[in-house]
Formats: sequence, structure tokens, C-alpha cells
Amino acid sequence: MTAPNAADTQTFLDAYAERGKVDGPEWLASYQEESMKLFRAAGLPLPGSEEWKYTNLAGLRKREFALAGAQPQQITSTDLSELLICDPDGFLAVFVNGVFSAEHSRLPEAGSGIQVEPLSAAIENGSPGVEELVASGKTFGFESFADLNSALFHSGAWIHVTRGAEITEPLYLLHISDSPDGSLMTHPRNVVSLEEGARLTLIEDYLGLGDSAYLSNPFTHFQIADNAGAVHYRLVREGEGSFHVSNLGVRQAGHSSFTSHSFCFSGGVVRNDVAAFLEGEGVECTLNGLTVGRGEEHVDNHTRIIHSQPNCNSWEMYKAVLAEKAHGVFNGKIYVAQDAQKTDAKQSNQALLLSDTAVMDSKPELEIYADDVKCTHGATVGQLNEDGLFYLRSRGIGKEAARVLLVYAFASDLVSGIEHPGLKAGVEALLFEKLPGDCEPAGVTVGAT
Amino acid sequence: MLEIKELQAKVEDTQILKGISLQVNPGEVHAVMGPNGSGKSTLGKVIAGHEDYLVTGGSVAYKGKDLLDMEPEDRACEGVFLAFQYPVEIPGVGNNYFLRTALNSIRKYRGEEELDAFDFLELAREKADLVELDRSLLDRPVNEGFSGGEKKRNEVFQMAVLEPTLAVLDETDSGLDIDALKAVADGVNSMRGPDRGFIVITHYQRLLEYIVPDYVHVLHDGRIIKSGGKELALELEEKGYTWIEEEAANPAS
Amino acid sequence: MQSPTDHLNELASQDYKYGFVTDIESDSVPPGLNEDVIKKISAIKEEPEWLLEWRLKAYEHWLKMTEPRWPKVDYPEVDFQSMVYYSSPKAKKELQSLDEVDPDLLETFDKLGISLDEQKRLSGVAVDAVFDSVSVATTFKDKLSELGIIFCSFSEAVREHPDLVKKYLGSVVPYSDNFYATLNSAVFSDGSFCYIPKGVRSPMELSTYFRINAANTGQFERTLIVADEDSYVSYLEGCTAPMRDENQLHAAVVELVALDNAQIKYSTVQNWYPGDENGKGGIYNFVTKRGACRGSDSKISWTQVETGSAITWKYPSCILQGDNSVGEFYSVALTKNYQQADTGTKMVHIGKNTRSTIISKGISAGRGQNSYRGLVKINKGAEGARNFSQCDSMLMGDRCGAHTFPYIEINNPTAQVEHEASTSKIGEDQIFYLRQRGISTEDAISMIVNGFCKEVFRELPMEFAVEAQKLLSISLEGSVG
Repeated sequence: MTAPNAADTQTFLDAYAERGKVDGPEWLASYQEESMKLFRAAGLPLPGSEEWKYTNLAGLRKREFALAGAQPQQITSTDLSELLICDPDGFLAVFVNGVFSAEHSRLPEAGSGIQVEPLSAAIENGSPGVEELVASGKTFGFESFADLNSALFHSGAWIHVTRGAEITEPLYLLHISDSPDGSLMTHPRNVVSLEEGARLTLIEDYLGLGDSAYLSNPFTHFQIADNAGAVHYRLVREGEGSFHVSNLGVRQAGHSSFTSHSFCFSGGVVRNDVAAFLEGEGVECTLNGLTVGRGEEHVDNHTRIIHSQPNCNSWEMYKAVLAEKAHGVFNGKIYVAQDAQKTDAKQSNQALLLSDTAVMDSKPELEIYADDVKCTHGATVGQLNEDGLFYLRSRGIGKEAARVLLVYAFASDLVSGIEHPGLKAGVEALLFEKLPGDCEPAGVTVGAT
Repeated sequence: MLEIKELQAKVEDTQILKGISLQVNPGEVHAVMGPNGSGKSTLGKVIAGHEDYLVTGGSVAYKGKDLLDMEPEDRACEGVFLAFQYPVEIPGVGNNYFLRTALNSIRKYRGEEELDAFDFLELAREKADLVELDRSLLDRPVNEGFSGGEKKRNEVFQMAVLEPTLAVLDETDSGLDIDALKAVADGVNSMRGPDRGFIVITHYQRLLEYIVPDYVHVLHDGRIIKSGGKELALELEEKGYTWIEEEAANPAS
Repeated sequence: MQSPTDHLNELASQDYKYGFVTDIESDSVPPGLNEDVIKKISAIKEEPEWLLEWRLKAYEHWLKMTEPRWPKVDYPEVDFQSMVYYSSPKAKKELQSLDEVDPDLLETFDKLGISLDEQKRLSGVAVDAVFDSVSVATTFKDKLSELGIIFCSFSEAVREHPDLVKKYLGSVVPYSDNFYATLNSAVFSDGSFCYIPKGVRSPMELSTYFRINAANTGQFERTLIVADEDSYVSYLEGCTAPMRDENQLHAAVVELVALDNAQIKYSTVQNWYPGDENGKGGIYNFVTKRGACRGSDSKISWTQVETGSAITWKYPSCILQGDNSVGEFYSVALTKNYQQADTGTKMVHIGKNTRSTIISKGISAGRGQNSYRGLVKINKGAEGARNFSQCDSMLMGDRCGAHTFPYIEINNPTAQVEHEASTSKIGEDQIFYLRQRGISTEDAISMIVNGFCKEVFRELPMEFAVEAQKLLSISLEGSVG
């Protein structure tokens, strides 16, 4: 083991110094200062550390990054409709290079049960609970990128759903990164809280324009009260040169539910960390993920589900389709504490390798301290089933079409879990766009419902 | 042989048996019928000594001893057999090996000589044929991967090998097709004799066409609300349980 | 009525039956580790210069290494300077035959159920008995040598077959491999050596029985087995140690080499002293075992039943170099009281159409912590590789832990890799079912646990399978056995 390298952190320290203290309450300044200290002490994750065994940040270390200004960045609205993955029939909050764009956003009105505003505004206005909730980001056990976010975030979304409010329209957060000179970094912070019995569907969409380098380092955390439920979609559509490092933390109280669908369609080096803490009885937690990688994309999904109370269920299904030189990583841990009796936890990781040069590394872990539990995990890695391919071809389907069909069938159960019809269509279209081969999705009918 | 007096029992906080009295003499077959949730299966579990069932009142005497004071395995050694409604699977433990261990535990308890593997196998094959249990199931792990019918036959097969003096059959007919039902009934009938008593717990009269009982008891809400001869079962089949429940609720009418 | 859980807790704290000490005079080097100690060990064993150099190279490398802390086990720092690195029972004179072995030693092994009297042994098992740092006797040597099989102590092999030793020593586990293997390379005292010539199937099981007797002594044996083309050998290993309050270190290295079409079956029943019910004492079992399937169509199969040791840290592995070679790992690991085990395997697929199977059964009782840690690696050129892994854990009681850390690294798209893991407890309904049939709770638990381990036990040679089942029953059951 080597000590953190000061050179690694210099560009971030410089950016922090250059930005100076942000406008806002005193607690924010000290929180950010404290976070910067933590980041500086830990540095970037070291090569060879267990948590970063399969993901190399050498490319990131070489670069210098700068924060975008606090002024709104420009995009034209005609562009915007093309950038969205689906028509947002509900609420929309757009962030360009980390800065909220009021012009493109459509926020709910006051008194509608849901409050959505830029986090910077919520902090400035002193929205109830904002200090505690922002500070709670420290409690998920994330590594130094989360500290870096805490030190440098300017904005992101502040989302609060009041007691019993069932928000039927989804809330769509679009984070756009546009970094023509290859030096942009953004640290969006999305803070979500649901009071008792509240319901919310949230779409987080990370989109990169162009192929040059940038660092996208979002941190989203959920606080879900008793009997509340959240459905969360996360799309990664970053540019080829991007480094996308995200942290998603969830705390769930009794009888709450959380379902996350994560789709990664593009990016340079992508690392997603998810930590779900099941802290009340009767909690349901579902984490699903689909990675479609090609080119030299590297996608690393790390998840932790921490069962600390009895009678909770968790389900986890992560799949990867890897073509060309793509490299997929999965590390999923299920932790069951001594008190978490009657836990039912299932985890599955499946990867399909479509080329000689694609690589998959998988590490599904169980750490169990309670005896009356049902915990299983499974992992499979392989290529397309030759028998299935032959069967389809013998029925007159061309080789390429048959391949796409089988790959689509592999991925489809994760797409079929999407409840929102528009989003589902959008994700399906993206999936076909990304899959190898030239098959038209229209010509394919598979049992994805 | 078995004398149940005012037996009361509960599971967790729910009182299931609310005072049951039942006497079974050697050679008799008693059918216990009743709708779902009336406490039929609980009665079987309490007789066998399941720890989830807490006896809150009454007594059970068996061959003059206090049955409730005995460990489950000692009850088995004394000749009490429960054919389970839902037989559990025990991975990796061979059916044969398990049953030989059981038989020898019981023989040892009775001061009899233990059977060696060869003698046992001979006995097991004979009994398997008797209940028409596929011999290949003897080498498989206990109940693992057995069909519903195979599990029930396996229960009756075990009964045939262990030769209990009191056999409690808990819904042994459920989930069986007519051929399997006949095979199971034949197995039971072949074991009827002057020294052995049966309690046949069932929801339907169908089984009782093949295992003809001496007495029929109707259980409702934790109590026996009516007892009679085998014709009572037919009456129940015809009229359902409602009339008898109503009758019990309004004894005057 | 006693609940099954209480019963389990009671059962999980049974006595160790091999804890006696043999009162025998021994020759030891003074405690501590330095170049002189290594030179002294080498001198006592009259080793050639190249071996001493190899040891010293390892020692030099070891000084630069740090103890690994990544396993999920927790123990205080080991003081490497307070330990004795060489101890041997005082030889009364040069041994010419088995009849001349010290009767105290024969009695010790008799007491452990290992008869060194060739006449008394029923089935064909040849034994190399290792007492502290040295091999005291090897049975059936003559009979085996008629077939060209070499089975002797490591020291003897160095003297009699230096070319073979030189060719293969360190070829699977290099001296620089890891902290404990490197330490072993510097100070290893004795162990077994075995060579099966081309085309020979060993007619009997070869086995080594390890006994630690002396206090404050580390045991660092080294085993090397080479199976030449078209040969077959089944090798068994057993071990025990006296009960002592201090922890003792056992850091062995086992190297296996299988050439074209050769098969090695290596079985271990590990029953080192596990420490008392409060976690005091016991052996630290930090072992490196690795086999190389060098030849095409070769096969190496590891089977282990781990019930002893305070801490177990071992990953018997297979390097599948030859095309169509096969690696297998079957393991039962039981931890009770304060025992900790971090064990598993590595299957490294290099050759084409290589196959591996991993079956691991972990049982945790009391405050035991049991981790499976395994690596399945499919290299780029390993066209058509297959792996199936199954890791099941059983927990007994609410103070223990069961953990699974599989690493799966796939660099070839034609690989088919499947990993399954599950965790369960003994069902109360299972115990009740068995009790209703007249079987006591104690027997019911033992029956269910043995059923859980069945897929592993059936891989053991007959004699060992019985011993392993008994051991598991004793470990869990106590009086009934």
C-alpha cells in the first residue's frame, strides 16, 4: 500500500481554493471545508485497493479539472426536447454543467405535496431539515469521491415529499455536461426526503454532449420515512471521454419500499456506488441494473445492502452486456446484522460477453451474522447460447437479428421492470441503438412486457 | 390407550384448541373432520409434541402415562406416529439411512436388538411394495424432490416400517389422485388390528370411503361439536359443515 | 423442554480429544529467527548448498514483507522472535527400520489412531508420520519402491533424490509467494515427498500425519507431490496438536505437480487444536496449498474437512495450464466457539477447455466466523473454460457469522461460469420431523449437518469419509459418537 499521492488531489484543491467560500449559511462553509479535509487526507482511491481492484483511475489522475461558473449555462430549448429520453409528463429540473437552468425546468407549485428546488436555493432559504439531510451524506460509508462532492457541490435538486402525498407524475432530473475543452467537472448533490406514507418516482439522467473529457461526480441520497415508497431510475448516457463516479445512498425506515433501476448506456470510465440501509422492520428494497458496454467503456457497479432489522426483503439483479473491449465490474455485498432475523435477500449478477476482448469481473459477497435468514446470490458469465441461436436461425431469422434478439431477451427483464411507458420506450430505443448489429427493433417481437 | 381430556392449546397468542376430549381404544379408527382453521392439524401436532404449540389446559394420557410430559422422540419410541400434512425435505440425508436410524432408536428404546443394514433393507423393500412406493425413492434424500403423492406415500411407508400403536394421519389424503389415495388407504387398512389405534384427520369424506372409521368427530373452533358413527361423515359430505355449526351455535333448535 | 438452539449451543462447546502431550525429550534450536537459525536448521539436516541459499533468499525476501491482513480473521500480532523454529524428538540412534522407532512415539500415534505397524494396518494406506519438525517414520516404503514410487520424508528426498527436489521445489509456490509461504521457504523443517513415475497408479493411499507436540514451536512442513505422465495418486493428510493456552503457528506449503494425463487427489482432515471455549489457545493454520495441472488432461482434486485450528487461512488452488485439465475443490469447514476460518480456493484457467468445480460447505456455530473466499479466473487464452461453484453456509445460533467472498474474473467470452451461494439454518421443522420418528435432537442435528456436507464427504476416500463424519459429529455432538 502506498500513501495518498498529493499530486492526485491538487487540481481539486486548486478548484476549491479558486472558488472560495460559497454564499450561504455558516454551516455550509464549515461542512465543505471539513469535507475537503477528508478528501485531501484520503486522496483518490489508490490502485490496488480492494474496492477499486478492477477499476483504474490513471486516466483521471493525469487530468486537470475546473468547476463551471455559478452562472446559468446556455442550451437552446429545441435542443432540449431532443436530449430528453422521454417526454416528461411530470416535473422537470434541468442542470447544465452543474448549474440549475430555470428556463428549461418545470417545477411543481407550492402546496402540491412535493417541493423541488435547486439545493442552493433550499440551503439559502433554510428549508426545514436541509442542514441535517445534507450532512447525513456522510453516514453512508462512501469513499473519497463523496467527500469531494460534499466539498465542491454547488447545486443539485432538493426534493421533499410531504406526509402521505402520492406524487403520480415522475420527477425528471436531467444533468447535462458539456465540456468542449476537456476540463469540466461537476458535483451535483441531490437530496431527497420522503415523509411518512409519501410516494415518489424520480428519474435521474446524466447526459454528456461530445466526446471530450470531464468528470461527473453526482451524489444522491434518499431518506425514506415509515410506509413511504420511492421508485428511482438512473440513466448514464455520458460521453466517451467522461469519468462518471456516482454515489447513491438510501436510508429506509419501517415498511418503506425503494426500487432502483440503473441503466448505463455510455461513458468512458463509469463507477456507480449504491448503499441501501434497511433500518426498520418490513422494508422492501430492490436494486436492478443493466450495463450495455462497447468500445473501451469501463463500467463498475458497487452495491451494498445493509440489513439491520428483522423481516426485510431485498432483491438485486445486475446484468451486463459487453461487446468490443468493454470491461464490466460488479461488486455486490449483502450484509445481514445479528438482529436482522428473517431476512430474505436475493442477489444475482449475470454477464454476457459478446467479444474476445470484453472482460467481466464479478464479486458477489454475503456477510451474515444472523442465523434465521434466507440469503442467496448467484453469478453467471458466458456468451450467447449457441443452441438458442441455431434454433432461431432454423426458423428463418438472420444470424445478426437472432443475436440481437437473444441479447435483447437477456436484457429485457430489466427493461420490462420500468413502469413509466414513455421512459420504457426511450430505454428500449437506447438499448437497440447500443446493441451490436443493425437490426431494427420494429422487426423484433420478444416477450418483453 | 389414548385419553384426551379438555385439551386446550395455543400458537403464539392465538388459542386454537379450546377444550377437546377424545378417547381412542386399541383397534379403533377415529376420524376427525372439520373446516379449515378448526384446529384439526393442531391436535395432531400437540399429540406429537411440537414446541410451537403451547398446551394451556387439559391432559393427554397415553398407555397410562402423561403424554404431554414426554419429548417428541420419546413419544415416537412409545409408539406415537404422526403422518405429516406437509412432510419436510432433508437434503443429503438418505431416506433409508434416516428410517433405519429411526427404527433402531425405537427398537433400542424398547430394549430390542437393532436391525443391521441388510435386514432393514429387506424390511424396507417389503413395506415399500406394500404402499406401492417406488423403491428408488429409498435411496433418495428424505422427501427431496418427491412429488406431493410420493411424499404422502413416504409417510405411510414410514408408518408401515415403524409399526406404531397410535397413528395420527394429518390430511394424508390432500393432494392425492384416486390411485394414490387407494394405495395409501390400502396401506393403512393393512395395518389395522386389535392393538393399534388411528386418528384420521381429514377435510373430506372421500378418504373415509376407503378407510372406514368406527367414529367420526366434527371439530369446529377448537371444540368437538358432534360425534357419531361413520354415517356422520356422509351427512357432512351432503350438507357441508354449515348446518352442524349452526346446530352447535343454537343447541335449543 | 430444551429448544434445539440451546442444544446446539451446548453441543458446540465440546472437548478436544487429541489434546494430550507426549513427554519426550527433544532437540530444539533456540527461539527466534535469524540467518544463523536458518543455517543451523540446514546444517542439522545436512542440506546441500543450493538449498541453504534458497532458504536465505526466502528469508531476505520475507524481511521485506508484511503480514497479510485482508482475510476476515482477527488475531493479535504474531511474535516471530519468540517462536521455536525447529524441534525434533531426540533420536536414540540412527533408525534402520520401523521397529526402532521410539516406543513413546509409536504409542502417541497409536493413541491418535494412526498405527505405524505395517502388520496392523488393514487397508492399503502408507503413512509418513511427522512429529513436530521431523518425519519419524514412513510405512510401506519398500513395497512402494518396487513400483518406482518414491514416498519418503522431505529431508530424505533432498538427500536421495536431489534432482527431483531441485526441479520442482518452488515451481508451484515460489519462495516469494506470500508472507507465510516465504517464511516456510526459509525455515521449513520436514514434510513428505512423493513421486509417482510414468504410467503408475499408486496401489495404496499415501498419507501424512502431522503432530505438533512441543510447546512454543511453529510447524513449517513442506509437501511436494509430483505425478508423472499417466500416473495416479490419492494422498491423505491428517493432523492434531495438544491443548495449550498459547497459540501455535502452523505455516505449511504444499505443492502438487500433475503432468500429462496424471491425476492427484489430495484429501485433508484438519483437526489441529482449536482453542478452548473462550477462544484461548489453538493453532494458527496459515497454509499455502497449490497444484499445477501442467500437462494436458491432468486433474487435481482437493478435498478438505476443516474442523480444527483457532484460525484457518488456506486456499488450496489449481493452476490449470494443460489443455483439458480439471481442477476440483470440495470443502467442509466448521467453526465453533471462537474459531475463525477464511478458506476457499483459486481456480486459474489458462489452458483450453479447462474445467473446475468448487463445492464449499461452511458451518458456523457458537461465535465461530466462517468465510468462503475464492477466485475463478479465466485467462484470455482459456477458450471453452467452464466453472461451477456452489457455496452453502449453515448457521447455528445467533452469535456466529457466515460470509462469502467470491471473485470472478473473466477474460474470455467462451467461458461459462456459474456461482451459487446460499445461507440457511437447520430448520426447526426438520428437527421436529426427525424427532417424531424417534431420533434424538442430537442425532437429528448430526444427521442434518452430515446431509448438508454429503457432496463433499462422498469425495473422500472411504476410510477418511467415516473419520470425517465422526469428527464432525464429535465436534458438534460430544458424548454420542
